[in-house]
Amino acid sequence: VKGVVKDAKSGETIVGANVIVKGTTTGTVTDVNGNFSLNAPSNATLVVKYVGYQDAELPVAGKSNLVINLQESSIALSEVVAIGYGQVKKNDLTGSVVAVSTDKMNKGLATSFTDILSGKMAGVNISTSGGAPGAGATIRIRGGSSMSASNDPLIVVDNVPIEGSGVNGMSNPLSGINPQDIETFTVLKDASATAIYGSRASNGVILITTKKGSLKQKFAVSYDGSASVSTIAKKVDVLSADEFRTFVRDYWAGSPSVPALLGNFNTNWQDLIYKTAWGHDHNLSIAGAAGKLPYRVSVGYTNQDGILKTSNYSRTTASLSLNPTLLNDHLKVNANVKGSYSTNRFADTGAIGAALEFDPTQQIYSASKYGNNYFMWLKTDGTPQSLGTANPLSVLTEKRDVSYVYQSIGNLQLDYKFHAIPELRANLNLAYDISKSDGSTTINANSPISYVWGSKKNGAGSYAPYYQKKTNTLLDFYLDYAKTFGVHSIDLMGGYSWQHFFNTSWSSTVYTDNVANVPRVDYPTAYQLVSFFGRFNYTLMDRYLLTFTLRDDGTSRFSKDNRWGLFPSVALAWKMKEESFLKDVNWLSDLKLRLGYGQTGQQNLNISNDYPYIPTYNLSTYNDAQYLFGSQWYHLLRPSYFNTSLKWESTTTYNAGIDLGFLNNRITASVDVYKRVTDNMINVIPVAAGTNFINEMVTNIGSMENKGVEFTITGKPVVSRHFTWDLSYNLGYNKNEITKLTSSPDASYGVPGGDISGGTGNKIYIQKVGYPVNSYYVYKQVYDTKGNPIEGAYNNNATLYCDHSPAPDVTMGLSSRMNYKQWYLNFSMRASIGNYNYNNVQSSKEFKNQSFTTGSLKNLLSTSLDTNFKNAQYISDYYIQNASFAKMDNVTLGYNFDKFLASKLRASVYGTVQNVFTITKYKGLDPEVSNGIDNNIYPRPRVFIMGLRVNF
Amino acid sequence: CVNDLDVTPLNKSISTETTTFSNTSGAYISYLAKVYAGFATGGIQGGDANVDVVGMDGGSQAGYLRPLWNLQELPTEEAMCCWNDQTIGNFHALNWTASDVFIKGFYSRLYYQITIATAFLQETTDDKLASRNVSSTLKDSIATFRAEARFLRALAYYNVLDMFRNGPLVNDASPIGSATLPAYADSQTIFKFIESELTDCQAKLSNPVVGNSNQYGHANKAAAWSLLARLYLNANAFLGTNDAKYYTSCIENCNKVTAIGYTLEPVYQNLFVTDNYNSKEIIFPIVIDGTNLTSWGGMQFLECSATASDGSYNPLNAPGTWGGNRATMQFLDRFKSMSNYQDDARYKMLYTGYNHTSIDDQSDFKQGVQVFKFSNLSSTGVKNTASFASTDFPMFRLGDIYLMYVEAFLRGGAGANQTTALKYINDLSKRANSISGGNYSASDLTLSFILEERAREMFWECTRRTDLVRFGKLTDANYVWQWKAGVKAGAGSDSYRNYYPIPTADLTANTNLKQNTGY
Repeated sequence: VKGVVKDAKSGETIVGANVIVKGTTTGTVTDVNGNFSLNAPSNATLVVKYVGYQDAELPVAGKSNLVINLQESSIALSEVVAIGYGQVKKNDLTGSVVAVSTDKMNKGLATSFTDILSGKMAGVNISTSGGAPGAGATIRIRGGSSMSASNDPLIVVDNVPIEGSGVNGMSNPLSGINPQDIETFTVLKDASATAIYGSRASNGVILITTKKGSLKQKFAVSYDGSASVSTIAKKVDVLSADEFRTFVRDYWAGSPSVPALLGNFNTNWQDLIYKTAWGHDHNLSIAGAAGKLPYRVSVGYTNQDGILKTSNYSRTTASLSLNPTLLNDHLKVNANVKGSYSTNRFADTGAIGAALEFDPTQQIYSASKYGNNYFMWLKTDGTPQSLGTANPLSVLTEKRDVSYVYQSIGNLQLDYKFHAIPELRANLNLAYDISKSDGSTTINANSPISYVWGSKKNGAGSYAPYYQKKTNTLLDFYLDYAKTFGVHSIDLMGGYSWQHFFNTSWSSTVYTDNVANVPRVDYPTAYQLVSFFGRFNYTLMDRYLLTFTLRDDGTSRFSKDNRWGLFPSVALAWKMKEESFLKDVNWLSDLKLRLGYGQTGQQNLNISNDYPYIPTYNLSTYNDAQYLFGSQWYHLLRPSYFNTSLKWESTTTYNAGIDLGFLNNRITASVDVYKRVTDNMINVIPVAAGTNFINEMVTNIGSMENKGVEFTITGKPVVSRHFTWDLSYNLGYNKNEITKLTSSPDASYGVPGGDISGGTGNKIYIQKVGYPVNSYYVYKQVYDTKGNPIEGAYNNNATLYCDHSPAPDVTMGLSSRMNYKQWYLNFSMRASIGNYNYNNVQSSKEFKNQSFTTGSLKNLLSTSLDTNFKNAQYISDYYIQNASFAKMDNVTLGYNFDKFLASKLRASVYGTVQNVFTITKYKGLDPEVSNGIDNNIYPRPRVFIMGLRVNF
Repeated sequence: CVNDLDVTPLNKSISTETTTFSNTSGAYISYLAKVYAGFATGGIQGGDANVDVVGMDGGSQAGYLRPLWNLQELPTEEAMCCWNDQTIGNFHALNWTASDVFIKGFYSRLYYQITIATAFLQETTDDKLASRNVSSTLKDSIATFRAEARFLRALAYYNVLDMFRNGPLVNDASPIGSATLPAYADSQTIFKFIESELTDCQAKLSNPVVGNSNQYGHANKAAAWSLLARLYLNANAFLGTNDAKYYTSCIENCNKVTAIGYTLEPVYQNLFVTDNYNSKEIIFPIVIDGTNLTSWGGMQFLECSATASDGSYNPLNAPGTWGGNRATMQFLDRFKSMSNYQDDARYKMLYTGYNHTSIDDQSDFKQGVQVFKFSNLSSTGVKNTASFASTDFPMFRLGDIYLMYVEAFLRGGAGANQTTALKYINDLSKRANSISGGNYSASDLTLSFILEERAREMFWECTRRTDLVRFGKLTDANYVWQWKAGVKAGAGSDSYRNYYPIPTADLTANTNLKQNTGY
């Protein structure tokens, strides 16, 4: 049988469509002209499949030359994308919006959605805080728009904007949502898309839609489980015990008391604090429809040990969604409840630094009466040395830091289409977002840390419980009217939103020696947002699109005069492909131009005070800060600083984009260019001395600019019967610059920041006009003719200068998915170029005098012998190091069984390696450090995962 | 629903003006306690947590006593720090800049103290007290509190004048919390302000009580007179004038203090012990306590930073061993000019047992002369067991008043006489050296003797930089010590190093200000 496969609408031939003889494994693929030929019985039926089209079946019926027309699948045609307070057809989008469904993502060991979103979208940078189980992540969309205020995007789960800051005792506030329950992500990047969320949208919006049941769906059960082994990928190179003995005897030859401290042991402290860690993860979901009631229920359990001994994370999640349609399809109900319970045992990362510097010639344990049998440094009088390093292993075993966290998000959304006017919809959304944590930190009495850390240093143990509860409630209501009049289509929406954020917490510390007990005092606080918003969409001839949005936001955080902020946006799109002059250009399947402008606001001050404009007094309840009159101690009453003129920070975004599709969208690409200007920046700046109860205060001053380009291309390089290959590449370039910091221009003015380890009060960043946020502020190191740094020799008369920043210039992501028959091989890669780190591990642990400080020996990094510094050179640019990298995040090889174990079960078995390799010139352990200050980061493990997915 | 945006703080420990102040004493005395505590600890939680002054290290940069000590002692022969903390090395090298964080920290602390003291005065006006139905008895005690707040504000302004000469001036009428920028005031204006404030407030301060009493901690009239004496003694240096009337005023105030009946502490060391609150010499202390008032700055710093970090020598039971500050070997010369110096109790506080008094390696604590003055033991040798220091800092004491009297007399002030001057000097000498001290005669009383005697008597008590400036020696190339101006043998420096620059941060924030000459 011969034939040709065509697009039913355009008549274009389709390349790479699968043609199979029904009920057999015989088949072929159409060639470049859309033709195929294969052997088939004359009574056979051919099945033709192509991505984005409905499957077609055609009886051969004795014919030998067939024309098969494929209908574009309604899903592709009507594929809708969530936008704020509504949805829109994907090809009617006017803003910079990217939507990805999770089934197209390569997953590693994912406890949070941030783990799977990493590297998948241009301009969306996700960096985990480290390799601890359940660790949090920093998300930056197109760089940050704020300096002192929050730079986190707004995250909206099933139409509920959630509190991104989380609760105490939870390192990742977003891990309450099981990534297995997520159906799609939509990232709104430019202001024309985000402005509908006004006040909290300056840093982009991530809309998450979870999986639901549907009426069409048959009862389905699926199980997804995996087991993992985490191993340490790399350790820091320090002097071995023998090398250290040689070094100390030589370097401290003039002070015989120093080498006398050396021990005779060979202890590898890094080996002692790390372990190979196991984990497992199970997810079970049931979906279907009970009569008219579509439902989905899921439960998940994950338990992971960390590679740093004692660390563990476990989580149980459950979710239920019901989405019936009532009143003859006029009322759509969408009810979701998600809950999670997590337990954390945190390992103190101080053990990591301690393991690098603890003397390798000492033994682990000792019979001394101090230190609970762990070796610790003693003074010459035999009592504990309070400024020594704590025994690394004891840091983990003698401290117990645990937390128990409940989180739940739920909402009920009613969408009613009026019986009289079906074009008019009313939508009501009621939601809550609750988190509650209980935790405590216990330090054993007489443990090494009880002498070395904290404020007491007298061997007293401590018990420090804490509690926090956040309750956020939401009401959204909007009306939407959509109608088409001839060539005009309009969609008008207007609504109101009310959101309340309540937070209460307490913490306390009790010492076993019973001195200075801190009373337990609850600290409740709350703020409120009220908003009015509207959107007008106008489409002419299905070709020219206009979107206008307006949001008026009020926050309780500002005084009455400054409380309201108005945030408009407008966007235009032109579907050029629909124009007559392009309609017949067959190779071009899509061409759309987009232009957008919008303003967004920021009221998240990143300070703990929800009432910054109200003059208040704070009566201290701490017994260790009182003043004495006569013989009586008085608690202190302090007036708090306040700023009545605080107002919205505003960010203006300009965006121009082009979307392209080629060869029936087998290749799609888009390019966006943007500029973002932040004004009235919420910024902590010096207050004129004598005018307020503080020296630096959050104020609206200064401006910042982000400019960038984003490029994404997705395609199918190979489509054949047995082998298909999907490839997606994205690139984002962003340049950040502070353009104004003070009311009067002052080139010499800078705000230092970025605490480093070493010395007291040393900082490494500066905020300065003309430079990116968090530029390093350092001395220019002078080198000798051999290229070695000369200690204490700096260029330009030792003046500080700005040298690079932690933010990358360019980030890239590459995802590949290959299917060969029933096998599949997926991988994800990520690269970051132009980001620099301050190598604080090196700067604080390689200068030679460090080897004997405060009466104890400290080991050095192996680089010490090359760098050859005697004293600390904390602010030398020698330690500002290029941390560009390329990483392979994960590789998965799997096999799909059609009939698993000869049953009806469909199953997939896979193996994944996560954190496969890193290519970098960076001298530290791992170049990926989100704030750029590399110090005691929990190493990201290399993880080996075996998984099984079963559906029936 | 839009009205939901009108909120008030939920937390009970946070209150507004109306819920804070009533007709009972609690809030007023706690507020006053905070104004005092700002001189002792960096915040309203122990260990300088919950700080008042932000953007820098609470204990080491944003408190009062430790920065005061750093700025007053490090540029002199009395102290050199071996740490690598930011710009700390620039002080001994007389090489600081306007963006220095330690200078910014102290300046911010001074103006913080000025602001909260001013706000206290604004919150306790007659009108406000009347509106709260405050009884006349309470109003009387609040009147004393107000005088104390004025004194504490004048003390902070005295430090501004001493360190910076010029700066912004806020007074009772300044609107706190508004964008109105304070006016720039030159040294003359600030001097006048301090003078009139102290003269005014001393009338309402309580009468001096010698030794421990139920008034301990409060500033009394004698504290105001002591500060006036110090202000007048230095007036010519602060104002660039040469007018003997200031010395007369200095003597007048010294005489008011000595008339009260303060007596020299019989044992010099007991001025600096954990029970020094019993001392009959101390006129005004900064209270420090290891349990109730803890800080990493202040006395904790003075004791721990002076003790070698290996704990190899800790005679005064320092609550920590940080190995940071020691004196230069030239400081020994201040004693060695006396023939009988080895019997002197003050000399015995210096330690040379590490046998390396020359500082060749600036980062080696054991090079130089170690100083063991502030003690974590009681007068009877009982060890303080709290993890923080518990010794009060003597801000003003009779010994200093004696020295000021003698110096003002030598500089031509009226109202003093040689017999009393000689007695004061011999009393101090005898107290320090009961074996062979107290033998000075009138011919020994010279200004250069006073500069040396002040080093011997007042070392590490935060007066040395001021003294050297007054004597024109701080930047003098002929009066040097190791590493002065960054040169190992010591060198002179520019005369603008006699005062500090106004921090860049405030110059940027307040466009009314001008940078000090030279910076």
